[in-house]
Amino acid sequence: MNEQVLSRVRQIASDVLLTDVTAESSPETVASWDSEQHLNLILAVEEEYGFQFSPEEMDGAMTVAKIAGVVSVRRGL
Amino acid sequence: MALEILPYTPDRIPAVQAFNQRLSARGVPADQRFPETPHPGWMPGMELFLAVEGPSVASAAVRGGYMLRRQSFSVCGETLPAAHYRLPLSEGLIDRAYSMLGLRLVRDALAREPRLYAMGMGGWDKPLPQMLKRLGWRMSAVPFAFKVVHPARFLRNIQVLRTSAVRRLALDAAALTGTGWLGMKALGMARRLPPQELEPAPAFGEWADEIWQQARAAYPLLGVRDAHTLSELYPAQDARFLRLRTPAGWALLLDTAMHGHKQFGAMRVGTIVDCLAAPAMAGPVVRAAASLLEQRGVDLIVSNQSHAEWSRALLDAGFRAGPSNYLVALSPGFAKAAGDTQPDHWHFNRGDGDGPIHL
Repeated sequence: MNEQVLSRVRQIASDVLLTDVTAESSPETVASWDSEQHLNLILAVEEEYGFQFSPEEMDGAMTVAKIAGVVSVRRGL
Repeated sequence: MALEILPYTPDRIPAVQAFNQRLSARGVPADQRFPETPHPGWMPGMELFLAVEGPSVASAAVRGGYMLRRQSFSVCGETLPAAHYRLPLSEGLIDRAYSMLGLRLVRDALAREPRLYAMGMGGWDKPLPQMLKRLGWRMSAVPFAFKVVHPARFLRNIQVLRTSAVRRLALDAAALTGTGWLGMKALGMARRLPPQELEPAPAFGEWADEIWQQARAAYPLLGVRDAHTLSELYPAQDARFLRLRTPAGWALLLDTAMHGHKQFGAMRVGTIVDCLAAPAMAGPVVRAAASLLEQRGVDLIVSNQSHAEWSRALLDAGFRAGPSNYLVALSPGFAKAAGDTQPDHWHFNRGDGDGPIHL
């Protein structure tokens, strides 16, 4: 996975969830990561990188690292 | 986790029941349950979809679902297909592992019909309107108006005001002594309309088609309300529906005796559910509708109308404007078709969306 992408996705997640996050952070480990904030996070990442998650990508994007992984694949990194 | 969104078929009913039981067990309000049949209610054009997880029907769990009610709309004079996005429900309400499902459901619906609208939704602070707003849907509130016909019964029953023992006592005293009636009279809230000789029509017929053809061009956005559509929405055999035909237009009314209703207590509530006329003729239709409901003995009359002329006609007939939690949201594709037309020129009311439920 591209470290630059991971770093940027971590920053976006921190801004949306209003707390520090790690690559392994998920809805199970972050109190503020509810369904509403998950939506905000996905939309923020989509806006940042200019693509829309496919249904399969959404299913898998349940940690910061996995979201960054989707971005990396989409960008061919 | 691999989720598929599929049409609701009868073999999924046990999994839907299990989904509803999980929601119930975790305290999700009772009005948030998915229909335990693929063919709910009388509304035409309904399609139901389920988000299922698992390889086979026997072992798959239902994790959510939504309904589409397909309709035709007149949009700036052109008839276009559209759909009402109804009751999206997700296991994300009770399990964060499914927190992405709400977004998946709405995107799946948009892939099936880009021109979607959502209605009602319970207010701006609820999760669905907040999500739709973030997704770029065009949002507005459909104004609400009410007319108190019998102040004493209104004061004894209106639940939104009876929130404490002291308030309940004060309202009961006002109802008993007549001070409430006098106060409302002074405010013009209990002004009765002159009685009219009015008789509900047994069904929508050719006359409704004529009104539709005369009126549709005056509204940049409204659901098709020709006789065929109206007869499906408000079937002649359903005795609840009162069809008022006037020279100017028509109104569809309900006269319902409530029992333990969460807002209306035990009042008899009249509703101007739906209506159509050229906007300039809204006044005579509203006055006739309110007069008929008053003559039938309702305690309170309510209506939601998006068009400015219909809202004004309600106020002119003695209604008061109230706070509205009844929202309308157009998907980006639907909003694009509507162009720069304004929500107070659209014609949405309780005949759209879910139809006259809870009334």
